[in-house]
Amino acid sequence: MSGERVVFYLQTADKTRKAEIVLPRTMTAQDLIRASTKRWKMLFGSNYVVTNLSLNRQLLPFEMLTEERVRDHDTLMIQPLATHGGE
Amino acid sequence: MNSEEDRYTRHRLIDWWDQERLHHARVMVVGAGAIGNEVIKNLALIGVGHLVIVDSDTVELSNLTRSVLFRAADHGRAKAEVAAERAAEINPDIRVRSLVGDLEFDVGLGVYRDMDVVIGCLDSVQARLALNRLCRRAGVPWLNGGIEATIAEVSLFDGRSGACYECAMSAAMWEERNRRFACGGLRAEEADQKMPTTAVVASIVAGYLVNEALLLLHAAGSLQKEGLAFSQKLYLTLKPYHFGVYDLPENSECLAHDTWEPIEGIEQSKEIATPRLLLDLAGESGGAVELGFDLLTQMRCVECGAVETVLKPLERCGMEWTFCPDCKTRSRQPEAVNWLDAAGPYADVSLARMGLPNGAVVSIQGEGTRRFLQLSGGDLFGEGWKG
Repeated sequence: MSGERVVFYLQTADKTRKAEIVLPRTMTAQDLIRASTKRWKMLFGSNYVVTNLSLNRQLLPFEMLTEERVRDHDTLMIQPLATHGGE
Repeated sequence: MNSEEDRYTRHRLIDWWDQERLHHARVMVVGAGAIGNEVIKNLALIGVGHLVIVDSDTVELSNLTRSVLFRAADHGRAKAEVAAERAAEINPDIRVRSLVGDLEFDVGLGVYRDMDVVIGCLDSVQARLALNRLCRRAGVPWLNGGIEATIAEVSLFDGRSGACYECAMSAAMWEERNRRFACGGLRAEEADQKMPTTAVVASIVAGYLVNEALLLLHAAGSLQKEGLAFSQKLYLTLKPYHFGVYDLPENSECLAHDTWEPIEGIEQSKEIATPRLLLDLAGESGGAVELGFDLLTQMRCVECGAVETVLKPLERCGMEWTFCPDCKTRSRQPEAVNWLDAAGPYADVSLARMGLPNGAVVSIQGEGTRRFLQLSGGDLFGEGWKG
């Protein structure tokens, strides 16, 4: 595998969607969210973040999938932000 | 054995527990909805001595499935007031104060500065962004709690350094947030979104929030803080079960990292203080007073040219302000500033007239200098405490 691409496992928080994917390291967390929400028809209108479960670290939206942030075969999760207080 | 020992006997069996420390603690709960109810109940039960409850909303019948402190007879009453009354009933040892109003415009920064920790139990990203900036300015740690139907999160932010809530904002989140505003920053009309949620998830997240507050309050002494570190998030799902603690990276370009210090207290109240007086007091008569928010100064009609002086925080003003009473059209545009100087038309207008609350802090900008002055009246621990 070239260093320009990374292979990792991606899943949604409810575990209904999982995939092993290969992407360029220049892709950002925000790009990943955009692609995943489209591909997996995730709930429109929610705010999502990407978290690397293998490194216990959330990615900033503009951060690319560089080697220090995402290693080959890491598990990433697309998590909806919980933004309600229950009224 | 006195009554306090009776009440807290079980706590004292915990080797690291310091009931006296909790008795002197000051905790603000912002948002008295489902999470806030559970947080307030827990803080009262464990004997946190000084509680401030902030909420602008009133009790609705649909709140009763999730809000342990509310009853049907409370329908229409201010949530903050009802929650404060019930907290004082649960534990008469503690002092509780309710502030019915907006967390940003009705609560002075001086009130936030007086707190050991602030717990945000809010219903929107917008409210969290506002609380995050206030706590950062005040240099006070805050806990964020949030829920959806079966997910919950708790994050802990240092008021002075590290990642903050705003660091993780994406372009999409800013877009969504900005949809709340239209036409030069006036508040857009919003559909009332009803969210699916239950008492179960609210009580779980509230338990973690209060545990974190406990650990933080105890860590102010010699105890090493366990649980979350600053700039960490606990994320859990209930269906299926998942639990994780994650680091939140700092965004070095985040605009919310602006701690206002040192803050100097002044004797002048919001009713007395004017921009000119504050600039003179600071020895910066050629400088500017930064309010910390956008002030709607005027509405100007592009049809007939009529002008109305407003002087209110821009975010508090909705689209109804676009209506011109002179030509009866929706043609008025807002004019807003976030600073005032001694040469401008509002130099001698009181800060109370501009909507600043008791204990507000303003920034005085001189030539290459910045000073922060806190108006009087923000001390909630004097007269007026219940309990």
